[in-house]
Amino acid sequence: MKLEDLKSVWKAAASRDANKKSLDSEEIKSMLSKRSMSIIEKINVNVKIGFVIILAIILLMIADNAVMAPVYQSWIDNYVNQPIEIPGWIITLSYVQIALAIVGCIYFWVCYNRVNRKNISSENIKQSLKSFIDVFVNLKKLTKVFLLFFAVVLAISMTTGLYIGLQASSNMANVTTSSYLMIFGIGAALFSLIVFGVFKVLQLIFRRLFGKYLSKLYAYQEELKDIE
Amino acid sequence: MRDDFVHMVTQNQGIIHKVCSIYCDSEEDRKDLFQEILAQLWKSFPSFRSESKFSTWMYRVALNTAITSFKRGKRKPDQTPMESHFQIADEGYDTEMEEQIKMMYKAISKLSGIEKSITLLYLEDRPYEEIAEITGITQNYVRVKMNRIKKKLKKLMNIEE
Repeated sequence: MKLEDLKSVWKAAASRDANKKSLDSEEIKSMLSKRSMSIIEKINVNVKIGFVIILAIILLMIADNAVMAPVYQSWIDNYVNQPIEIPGWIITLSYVQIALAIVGCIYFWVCYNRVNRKNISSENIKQSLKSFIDVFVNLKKLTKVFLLFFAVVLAISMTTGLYIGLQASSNMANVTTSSYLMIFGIGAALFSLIVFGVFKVLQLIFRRLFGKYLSKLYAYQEELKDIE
Repeated sequence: MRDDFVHMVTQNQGIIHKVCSIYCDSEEDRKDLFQEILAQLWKSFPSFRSESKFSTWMYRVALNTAITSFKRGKRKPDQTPMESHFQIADEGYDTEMEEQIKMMYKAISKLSGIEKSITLLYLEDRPYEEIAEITGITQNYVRVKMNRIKKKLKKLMNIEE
């Protein structure tokens, strides 16, 4: 067979299929009511799931500040001889962190809806894919900014806690340099563990919700770039 | 509006069948994709403006949907290579034609998503201008890409120069 013959083979196959598969308008109508989901719609569902998860995390953070902070304070009051108070600015910093998470969510939601309002299937696929993927690239950047802020707040909180704790300790004079180093080491290890853990959890959530769908869209985008 | 839509789609359903046949290997996948394209067409129908032909718009939606569709994991099309295309070819066609159809679909199945779109439109005798409009790439790139696809198809089908 020659390459030129492909068109005639294609026409033969198409006309044969047309006779066999032709549907009437009633069948078309009934098919409209039952359907599967495209990548974009699966991402839409997962964005909603992602928002529920983020909302739960934000609520947990608010609960930590509003409910748990007084509990921590009462533990300190009960078990430590010296009067130690959690500084108010640490709580404020935590609320700034929560506010940052909320602003980030709203920003993502607005950008996502702006892109999603257009139907990707009827638009220029190259531009649609780009703007759709860009929203998720921005989400990744936002998550990194949040994580950085989270790490800074955590580091400041831990250092402050350590400093106040040591200052208030009645046995301060007995604390040796090696003890300081050990406390600092444990603190640094704990800090790294928490930041790394949060990073991994966020990465896992992102991959589970969007990973396989976005990688397919990336592949098409790359292919389109390849053509250019 | 729904009736108008159903009428127009019924008249042009061949486009969806062709897109499904080029993108899916199994009957089950073809049915799923057909429904998905239908739903996307209905969703996009309010935005259809008569600036382009209905068939051009339909090709664009159908091909974009096929490219961005996501097959369920449980199905592995690569393990059932073109059997369903071959099985359909049982009446009214000679064995040689059946073999050629099988060979053609097998070669096309090895192309990438975008290449399949361009190949389908080429086989449908659509002018480069329309292929460019449907796929959203420039005419020059369509030509370049089509030349590459032709070479690829020749290799896949063992066609000599």
